[in-house]
Amino acid sequence: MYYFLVFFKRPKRWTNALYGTTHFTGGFTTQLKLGEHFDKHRWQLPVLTERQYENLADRFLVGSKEPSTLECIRPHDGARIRYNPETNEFGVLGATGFVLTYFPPHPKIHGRPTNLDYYQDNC
Amino acid sequence: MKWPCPVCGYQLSDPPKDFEICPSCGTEFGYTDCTFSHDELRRRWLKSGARWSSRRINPPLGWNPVMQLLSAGHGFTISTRNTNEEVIFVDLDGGNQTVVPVPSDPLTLDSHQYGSGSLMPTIMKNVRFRVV
Repeated sequence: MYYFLVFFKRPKRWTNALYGTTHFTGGFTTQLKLGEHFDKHRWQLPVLTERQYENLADRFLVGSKEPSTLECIRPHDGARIRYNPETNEFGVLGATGFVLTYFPPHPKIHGRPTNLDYYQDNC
Repeated sequence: MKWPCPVCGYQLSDPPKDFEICPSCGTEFGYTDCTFSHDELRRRWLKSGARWSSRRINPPLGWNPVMQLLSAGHGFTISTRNTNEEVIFVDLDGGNQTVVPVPSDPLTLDSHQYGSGSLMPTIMKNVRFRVV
C-alpha cells in the first residue's frame, strides 16, 4: 500500500493560512516524471533539487497569477497552460491537477518564431 | 500497453504526447517536436550518436539503438571504418536489407542480427550516422 501511494501521488489540498484560500497542488504524477523533467530543464532554472523545481512549477501553475502571466484552457482536455513573457516561464497543468511540464521555452528547441507563438500554438 | 516513440522507436509506457519525455532519445512531445518533424529529430539523434538519454531509466539489457530503430521500421545507413580501414555498410532500402561484410573481419554481420557478437560496440564507437 505504501509503495502504491509513493508512486501514485494524489493532489494535495493546502490552505493559505493568511488568505484562507484553498488550492490543489498535484505536483508531477510520479516521482519518475518529476525526475525526468527536472533533469531536462534544471539547467535553465535557478533550482538545485527536484523539490525546488516542483515548487516553482506549483507556484507558477497553481498560485495566484502574475499580471503579466497569460493563461488559457486547452479546449480538448481542459489542461491549464500558463506563460509569462516577462519571466519566460511556461507550464502546463493537467485537468486532473497534476503538472505536465514546466520550463523556460526557447525558439531553438520548439522552432516557433517566438515563445509567445509557441504558447499560442499550445492554446 | 506500450506506445512506440515516433522518433527512435523505443516502447513508451505512456502515449507520446502531453510533454512526455522519451528516455531513449530525450524528445519531449509537445516541445521538442513542436515544429521539427519526427524524421528530422531522428536524424539529429542519429547524428549525435544515438545515445541513451535518460539518467533515471537504464537502457534495456543489451540495448542497441540500431535494432530499436530497425524494429520500429526506421531505415538508415551507417558506415564506419575498422582497423584495416575498410568500410562496413548496413543499408536498408524499403525493407530489403543489404549487408556488405568486411572480408578481413572474422565476424560477419548477419542480415537478421545486426551488431551480433562484439562487432556492434566497435561500430558504435566509430560510427558516423548518415540518414538516407
